[in-house]
Amino acid sequence: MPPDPKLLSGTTPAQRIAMWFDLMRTADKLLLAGMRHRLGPDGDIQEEYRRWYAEQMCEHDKVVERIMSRSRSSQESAHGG
Amino acid sequence: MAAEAVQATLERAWNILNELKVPAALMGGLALVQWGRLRVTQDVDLLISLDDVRDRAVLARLAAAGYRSKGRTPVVRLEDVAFIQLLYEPPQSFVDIQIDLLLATSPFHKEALSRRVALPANALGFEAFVVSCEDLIVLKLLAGRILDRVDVADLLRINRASLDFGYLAGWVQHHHLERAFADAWNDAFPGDQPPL
Repeated sequence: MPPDPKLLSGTTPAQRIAMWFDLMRTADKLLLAGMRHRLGPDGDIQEEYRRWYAEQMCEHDKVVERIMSRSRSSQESAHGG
Repeated sequence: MAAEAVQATLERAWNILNELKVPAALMGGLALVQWGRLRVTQDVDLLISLDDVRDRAVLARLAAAGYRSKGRTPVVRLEDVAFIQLLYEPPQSFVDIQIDLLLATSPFHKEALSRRVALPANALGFEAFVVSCEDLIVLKLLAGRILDRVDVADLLRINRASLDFGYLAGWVQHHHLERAFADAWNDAFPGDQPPL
């Protein structure tokens, strides 16, 4: 079975960050290529990317709120609240 | 573009927090990377303590450096917990990168910050800290998405030998996350009894 590419055991912190940079650049290229294909040569890819990013952050905001509110509610229940 | 933009957003904010002696720790995708789980991340998430520094001073410094509020006000309050949500447009970027500063006011967040782990300066190009693997697991369980469960399973697989399961059990039980932990454990080690 091939090694799972997500598993970075045995690497240094600097090597992990370098691999993260590679992954991010590759993912970005794929994303931009997909957007260009969908929009065509004259489409505003930067605007499309900003729209996509805003959607991603909408989802992210819900996660942050969940982490914070669940921490709070656990604190309340631990103190009988 | 994204990696450089995320790093630039982090580095500038980190330097400001460092100058103001605000304790901070990475807790998002970049923390995952440091604990062996590689995946894309589009933003910066920091756990910070503002106990000793007025938040207005921090916000003023960040604003002067180009960080602006995402919403009407930078501080988002959920009753007795709060976080700061900002956007920053790094040079050569065409998108504003989001940075969330979670204020460590709960006992768990305070302890997580106190247990942060130093990263060598050659990793990100500057000295930084990440939350410990145990605390990252609890944060991921609190987040509660399928993706977070996959993150936890990978973190368990990669770091099983070095995890402090006694510490982990305390916060898992405190947050009533036993079921979520058991599910992730079963994903990581099918048929193996969870240690908590």
